[in-house]
Amino acid sequence: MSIDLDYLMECSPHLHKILINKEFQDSRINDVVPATTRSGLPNLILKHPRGELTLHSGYPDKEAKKIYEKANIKERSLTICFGLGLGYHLDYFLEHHPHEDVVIVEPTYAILAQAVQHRDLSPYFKNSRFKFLISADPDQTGQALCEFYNFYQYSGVQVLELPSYLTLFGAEWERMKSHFTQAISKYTVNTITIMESEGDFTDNCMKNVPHFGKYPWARHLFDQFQGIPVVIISAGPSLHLQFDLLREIRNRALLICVDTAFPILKRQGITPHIVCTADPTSGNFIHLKNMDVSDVYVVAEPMTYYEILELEGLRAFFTNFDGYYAKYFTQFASGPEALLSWGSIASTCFDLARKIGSNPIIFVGQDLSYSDFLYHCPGSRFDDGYTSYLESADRRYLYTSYQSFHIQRLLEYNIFPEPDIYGKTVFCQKNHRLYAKWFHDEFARSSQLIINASERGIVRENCRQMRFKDVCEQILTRELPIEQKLAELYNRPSDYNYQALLTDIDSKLNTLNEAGKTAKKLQQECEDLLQSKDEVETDSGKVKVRNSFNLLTSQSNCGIEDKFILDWIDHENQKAEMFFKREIGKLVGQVLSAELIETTANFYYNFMESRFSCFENLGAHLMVAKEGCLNSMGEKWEQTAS
Amino acid sequence: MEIYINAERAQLDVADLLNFGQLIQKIETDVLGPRGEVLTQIQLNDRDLDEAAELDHQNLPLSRIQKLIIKSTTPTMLVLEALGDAPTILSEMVKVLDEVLGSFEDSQDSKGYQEFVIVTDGLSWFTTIYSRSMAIFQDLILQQDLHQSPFILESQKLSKTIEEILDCQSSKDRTTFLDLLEYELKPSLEVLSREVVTFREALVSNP
Repeated sequence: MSIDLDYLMECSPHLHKILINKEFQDSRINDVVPATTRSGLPNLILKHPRGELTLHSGYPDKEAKKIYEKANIKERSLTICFGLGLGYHLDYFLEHHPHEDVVIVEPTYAILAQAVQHRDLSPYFKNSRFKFLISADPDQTGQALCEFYNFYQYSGVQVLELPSYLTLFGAEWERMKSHFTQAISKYTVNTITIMESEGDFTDNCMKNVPHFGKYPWARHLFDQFQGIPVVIISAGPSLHLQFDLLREIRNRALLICVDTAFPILKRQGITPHIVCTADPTSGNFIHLKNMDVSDVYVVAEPMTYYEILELEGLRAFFTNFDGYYAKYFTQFASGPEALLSWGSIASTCFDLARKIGSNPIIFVGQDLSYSDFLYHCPGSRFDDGYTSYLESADRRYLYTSYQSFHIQRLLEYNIFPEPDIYGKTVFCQKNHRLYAKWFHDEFARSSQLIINASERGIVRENCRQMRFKDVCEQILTRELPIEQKLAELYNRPSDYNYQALLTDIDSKLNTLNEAGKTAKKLQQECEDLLQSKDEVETDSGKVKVRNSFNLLTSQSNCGIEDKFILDWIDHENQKAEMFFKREIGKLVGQVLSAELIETTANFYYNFMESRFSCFENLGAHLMVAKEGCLNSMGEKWEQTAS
Repeated sequence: MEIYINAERAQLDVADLLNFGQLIQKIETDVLGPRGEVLTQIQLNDRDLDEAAELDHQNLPLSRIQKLIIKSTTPTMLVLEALGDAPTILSEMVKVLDEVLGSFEDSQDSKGYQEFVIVTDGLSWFTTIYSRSMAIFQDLILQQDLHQSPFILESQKLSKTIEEILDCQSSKDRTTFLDLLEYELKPSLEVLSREVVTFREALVSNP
């Protein structure tokens, strides 16, 4: 069957030339040969250096349905299709969404050149809603993808992934996605809000309100441990080297650990004094779930996953990382409670150690690398994985060593060589380097003596390297009443002001309610403006239009002056806010015309719609906080009455 | 040393024997062979031995055998028993296959390939049972026209599918491999788990 490629000539002469003349070389594909599906439709077999791969399933309709269902298609999301192939999956997509925009990512010309010869792909090339990105350079493609993402139009991204492309070009695709998300994150505080749209941070803050008065705040700890040595325990692979010594020094130093290290230590019979945890997702909850936390103090943040704060027997101190909501709720505690948080929770442990006045600050298990080719700390729960791995097929894994188990795991990541504290090469991830740099910079700013006693890893600058054994023998030499001190600080009465919080939430709810009404009024104004767009040629029409624009501009905040609410709107509605500000900025200085009025009125109308739903969301969040507030006040009242 | 064969105490001359392996060989040659039976189960000192354990104990001195229980059956009964187990085993294979496909769907290919080993073990078992059925009941199958029965036709189809799967594994064609698992192998196993019941009944009702 011969396919007429005139359509391609019309749509893109340049691409036509490349595909016809086969002006490309691709070492990833040796050859592409024609084949057929079970029902005789065209298919292709891709011969590559490692073997061969059939492009589409022999049942392309079933494959298309699966790809479609996996993409979890939603309206108002940008659809990216990784791999055009012969387009069967796009046929299925178009049947269900004929008017959606699609960006097709093709990592090679080699397949496309054969595909156009074997199936009529003109429906895609001629469709103005379809855009093609063809490049073997994943970085370039990732950057280019951003050009297609429009914050006004889309509220997320969904991907149709052709399985054969994932098999052949999976690594490139991951890089493209990574570049895309990085570039998008320039416009957003958190990429996850676009890719996942999860409201973990906000949800936790609101659900945690009842705990704000139940537990003391971190300020009570500040400056209370002047000159007391602190050991910060991270969960790096080298931690297992220090188990024996850590068991012996509980009364000679304040032991602060990260949440991931806590179960490891407990398993080894080591009980730290303080555990820092701040992860808002349920993922890190596994480190504390079903653990006995009654003998430690947990330092948590308002956005900490709410189930952590509901653990039985929990004793906690609250801090805040100055996030949108945490900052607000912290106002009703009585002092500065903030701690730094920079990528890893160990950064919070370090800042806590500084603020409580400890000196020296000693690190163990702070590798920030895969020391000794270990993926995780031996003795942790991950080791159970090794045991079950062996048991899953004992004969097959008879010769799988513990070391090779670790190496297999760490090879799943992009790893890079980095000099360690001894100048030897160790492997780490890119973010490990960034964390290490942060620590190096912060160490330089700290007045305390910083000792890295991890004996492994890449934390090497602005700190003293010591063996932990020597630290224990030379520095951690005297018994200290740490437990008593912590108990005394924990038992200080709560001074969280729920009454003031309740009053403020009520006032904010009122403001949001009124703002919602104003948004609706402004939408009506936009509709009136659209009706009168053709009057712009007359003098009275011009005045009317100008007055409308003045009203829309001056009231764009819908009467809200509260700085917190404005911040929250910026955060919650960031995509629409950014897009609107950018697009309106482009219109400034243009000649007033019916077309301009229509465009601007539509922008404002949609902007107000986005704000209205944002006000409603904020109101719903604050109602959760209000309920928590009332419950806490009720409990407090009952306690006082009894 | 006590030796029981199919619950009956057996008297064997073991004077020339040194170890467990030789004893089993003698039982197979002197006792089970003449009866036309094959050994199906060994219990040594109250412990069931699988094939691997049997090999491990080959050199165990006779002096350390207190009690040996042997179960045996005729090849015909063995095949019929296996065909009786087949609906359950084939259904289990379908379940494992679903897990395999789920792993590939989640891009956990290595897990999928590991799980598929269980299916290949099952296929190997089924192929053995099928070929023995064909050999033992050859005449009956011809007399009863069973070679056109859905069970035999599907088994023949399965045999081709297995060949294709092996080809895909060697060429590393993931797409066709998964097609074969989902759209060929799985439906075949489902058909066989149903049809094996009728096939066995036909064999049993025509001694």
